[in-house]
Amino acid sequence: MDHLARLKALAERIEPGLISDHLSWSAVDGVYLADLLPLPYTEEALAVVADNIDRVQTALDRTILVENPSTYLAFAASVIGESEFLAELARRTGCGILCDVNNIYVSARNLGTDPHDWFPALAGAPVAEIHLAGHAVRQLDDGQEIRIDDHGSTVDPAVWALYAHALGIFGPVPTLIEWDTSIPDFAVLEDEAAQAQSMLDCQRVTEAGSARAA
Amino acid sequence: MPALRDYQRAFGAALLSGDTAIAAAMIGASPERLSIHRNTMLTALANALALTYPAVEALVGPEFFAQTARAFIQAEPPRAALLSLYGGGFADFLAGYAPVGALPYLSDVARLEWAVDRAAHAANDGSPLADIDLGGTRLTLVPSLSLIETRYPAEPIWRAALGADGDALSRIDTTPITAPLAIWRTDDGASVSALGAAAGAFLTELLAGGDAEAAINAAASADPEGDPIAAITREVLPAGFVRLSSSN
Repeated sequence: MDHLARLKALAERIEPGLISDHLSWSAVDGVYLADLLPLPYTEEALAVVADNIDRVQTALDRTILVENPSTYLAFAASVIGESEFLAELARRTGCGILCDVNNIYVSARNLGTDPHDWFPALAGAPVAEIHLAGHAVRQLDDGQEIRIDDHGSTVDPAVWALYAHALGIFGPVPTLIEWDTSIPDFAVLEDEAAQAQSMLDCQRVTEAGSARAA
Repeated sequence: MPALRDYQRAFGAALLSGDTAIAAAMIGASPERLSIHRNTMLTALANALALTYPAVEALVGPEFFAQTARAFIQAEPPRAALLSLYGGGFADFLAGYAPVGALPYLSDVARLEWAVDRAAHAANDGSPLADIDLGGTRLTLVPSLSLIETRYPAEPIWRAALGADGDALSRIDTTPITAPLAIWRTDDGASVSALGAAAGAFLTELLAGGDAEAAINAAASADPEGDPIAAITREVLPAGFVRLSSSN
C-alpha cells in the first residue's frame, strides 16, 4: 500500500478535524531522508507542489492545510517569497494554510529577514490553524547564530509578540503549542495554553469592538 | 538553473555522504547549514534504531551505538516511507562491521531484536500459520510467530542486557551454540522462547507448510537420540504461540 493509500485509511479510521503537512520534501529516488527538507521557491517547485496537494486532496476528498517549515538556508534560485508561494498554493489548490509562528521567526532570524514581512502576502488567505513552539539557539563554527526548531523549550517572548501580530492579521485562529522534547511540568504547559487563550480572547474582544464601531 | 530533481538528488547525496560542498555550492548556501539537516536526519534515524535495538545499545553503550547507527544509516538508508520498517539489515551489517568484531554475538542479538520488533508490530487478526491435527487435537500457530536460528546464546544475552543485569551478563557462556528461538506477539509486546533442536525442527517444518507427519519426522531427524513426541509435548504444546482445540 502506498503512502497516500495508508494516509487515506488512517483518515477514515480516526476522522481527524484537520489534516496538514509541511511545505517540504523528504524522499528522492526511493530514499527516505527523515527530515523536512527545503525547496527552492521556483515556478517549477510551485507547479510540482500544487500538483501533489491536488493528488492528496483528491485522494482524501477533503482540503488539507499546508504549513510553513523552519528554514536554515535559502536557495539562490528562489524567485518567490515563502508566503507568496503558500498564498499561490492556496489559490491554485484550495488548500488552507497552517501558520507556524515559531517557524516564521526562526526562518527570518536564520536568513536575516524581518519576520513581519512574511504576513502581508497571506492577508485574507485561508489560515485555519496556528502553531507556536520553543526553539534552540546554537552557534555555527563560523560564529553565526542559528535557531533550531526543536520544540524543546517555552515559546520565546519574541514569538509571543509575533503571535499577537499574526492574530491581528488572521484573526483568532485555533492555536496549538508544540512540545516534542524536554517536556516540562504540566503547570508550564497550562501557563502557555492560558497565555495563548488570553491573547485569542483579547483578539475576539478587539474584533467585536471594531464590528460595533463599524 | 538546475531542475528541482537535480537539487533534491544533490541534497540527498550530501545528507547521506556528509560531503555537503557540492550541494551547498549548487544551492548557494554554506555547507554548515546543510549539515543541520544532515544532523537532524542522522539523529532521527539513529533514535529509531535505538528504539528497535535497545539490547544492542545497552551492550555497546549509547555513544558507540550512535556512531555505529550512523555508519549503518549511510550504508543502508531507509528505502520505505514507514520508519517502523527501517533497520532490518542491521544484524547483517553488524556481522561485517569491524569495530564490533570483539562481540561476535552482537549480530545475533540484533537479529533477535528485529524479530521481536516485527512481532510487536504484527497484526492481531491474521490467519493462523499452521493448522494440523495431532490425533484428535487441532494445533494452530499464532500469526505473529517467527523462528530464528542464532549461533550464539543471544536470548540470555538479550534478557540480561535489557535488564541491565551486569552480573548475569558476565556469567553467560558465549561459546557458539545453535539455538532456535521462537518469537511471537503478546498483549504487552513480544515473547521469546528458546527451543531444543527437535522442537525447532518441528515448528520450522510447520511454518514451511508441512503436515503433522512431516513435522514429527523433522523433529526426529534433528535429534536422533531423543524422543520427538516427548520434546513436542514438553516444549511446543504448552507454548504461548500455540492454540489447541478439539478437532471434533
